[in-house]
Amino acid sequence: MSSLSTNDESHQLRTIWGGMVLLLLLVTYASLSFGTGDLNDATMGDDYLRLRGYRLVNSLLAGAALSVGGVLVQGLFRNPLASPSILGTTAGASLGGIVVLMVWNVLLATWIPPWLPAELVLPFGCVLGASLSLLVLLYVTRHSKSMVSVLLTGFILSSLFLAIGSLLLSLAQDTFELGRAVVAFTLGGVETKGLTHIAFALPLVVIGSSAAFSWSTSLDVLLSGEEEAQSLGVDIPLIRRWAIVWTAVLTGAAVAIGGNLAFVGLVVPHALRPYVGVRHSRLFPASLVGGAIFVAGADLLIRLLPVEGTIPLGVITGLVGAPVFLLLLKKNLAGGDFA
Amino acid sequence: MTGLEVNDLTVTYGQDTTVVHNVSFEARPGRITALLGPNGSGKSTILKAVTGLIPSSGSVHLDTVLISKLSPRERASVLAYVPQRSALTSPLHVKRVVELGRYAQWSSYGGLSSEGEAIVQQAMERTQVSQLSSRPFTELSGGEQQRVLLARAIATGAKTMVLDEPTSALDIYHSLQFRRLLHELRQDGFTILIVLHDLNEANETADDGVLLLNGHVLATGPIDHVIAPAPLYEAYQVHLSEERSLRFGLDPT
Repeated sequence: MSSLSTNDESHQLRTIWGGMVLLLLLVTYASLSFGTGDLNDATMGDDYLRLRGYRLVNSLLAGAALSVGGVLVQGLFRNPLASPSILGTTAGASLGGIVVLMVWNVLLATWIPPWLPAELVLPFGCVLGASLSLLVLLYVTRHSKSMVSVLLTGFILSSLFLAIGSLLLSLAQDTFELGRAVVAFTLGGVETKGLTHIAFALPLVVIGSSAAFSWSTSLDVLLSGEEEAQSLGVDIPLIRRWAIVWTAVLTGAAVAIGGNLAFVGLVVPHALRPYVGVRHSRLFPASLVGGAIFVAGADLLIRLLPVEGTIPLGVITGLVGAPVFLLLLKKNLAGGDFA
Repeated sequence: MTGLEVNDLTVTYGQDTTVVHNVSFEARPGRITALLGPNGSGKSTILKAVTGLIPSSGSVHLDTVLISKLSPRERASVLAYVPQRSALTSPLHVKRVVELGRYAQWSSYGGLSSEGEAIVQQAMERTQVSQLSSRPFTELSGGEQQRVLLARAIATGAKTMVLDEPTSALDIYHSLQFRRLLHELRQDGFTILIVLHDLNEANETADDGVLLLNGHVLATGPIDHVIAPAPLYEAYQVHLSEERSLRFGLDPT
């Protein structure tokens, strides 16, 4: 970010926020306007609108959660290349969700009361999976200061969790209903998500984002490295512990409603940093709104693309995110940031 | 106010690699104490152990309070640390960097108090970085960055300051400017413990010295007793010449 006077900076912030609010309104309007069914239908019109509304809110929540989670892990690892999907957290959350579906529908099928379906427990499985993956990552890389080892460990964990997920998916094919549920969850997407998903995800996203925001100043101090941050009074073990908890909560909530949406936590903060700066008190709220717009926009794109069938939401975020990640990687390598 | 009292400080890495052995010394208020010694003698390690950045045994008291008993925030408000070079690579604005010196007094959702704001302004004026306030820290020269780090340390409100070779990357002008700031802080009663590599600079900057070799204290006391032929020969295997070295000074402003 270049040198700006306070007035220029305020003007720039107002402009970017104005632009984001406008985009959010546009995406909201378009998402409610386009989709399956005719809104003018006398009998079904209201239902179509309601379903589109649920879909929109779920996509907004998933995007906001992943984006805020991305800022949180980037602050924790002091690197813009970190994000829940790159570090294996999303894959861990996804595996947690699959395990819950399997356990609920096979092992505990006869014990579970009907008022406690797998869908209600799924988010907790996702949060647990995300937490475990972050704990393993931090444990394995505890002696390493190199971001390369963090990224490689994240890649390995991600591959491992995806492989186990695939194994469970193949085992689940023995039962038709379970197989369908696991496949639908693995592919992700918000088109079938309803009010129940909003009901459990909204509190998690609100609490997780508020908690992350409360760590803004600590994360700003942490930009100077652990040694300086410690000397200024930051309790490093405490911040690490809570960053894991809130990243897991946010990623778990996002995966439970949207599935494995890659790169959201990487692309959105990266796109916003040049305009809102590196201060976390500005980056968190901007990323929350930016992430919501990004995923809702990607979901809208799926409906507008002239293709047969449905493209999984994660495909769109991946197609946009992967090139951005490669560009960032190139920039970091050129800057010698991986020494 | 008794300053810093370090007793039997020992730092061990891993199972059995001891790099600092039972080191004891004092750094008194209103004086600048220099930690001296050849490369690998344990100067920076001692500084980090004193600050609580690395684990150690022994005790460090600050004005009779045992530092290890303080919480991270309590410690940060009585003891400020200035690194050799900041690890900050993000373009945070200078004013924000100095504001973060008040972290120990900050609440989670609240901003700086008006008192904190005034302290930050004073620290920036004192170190002459006010005109840089809206510039990204990463775009500053080495000398400017060190002044900002000193401003951040002053903004903590701590009256004890530990500095790790803060002038090693500075040219003579910025080095002298930095020294002048340290002398002003000394006059205000600050306790200053500083690691210095250059013995000429130590002679000009410090009042007291602690000379180290292989993690042991060789000599301690007033700087002209420490920078003396016998201890210097033992530490560096060099002879101290009586010839006058070059002396530099800033304009008396």
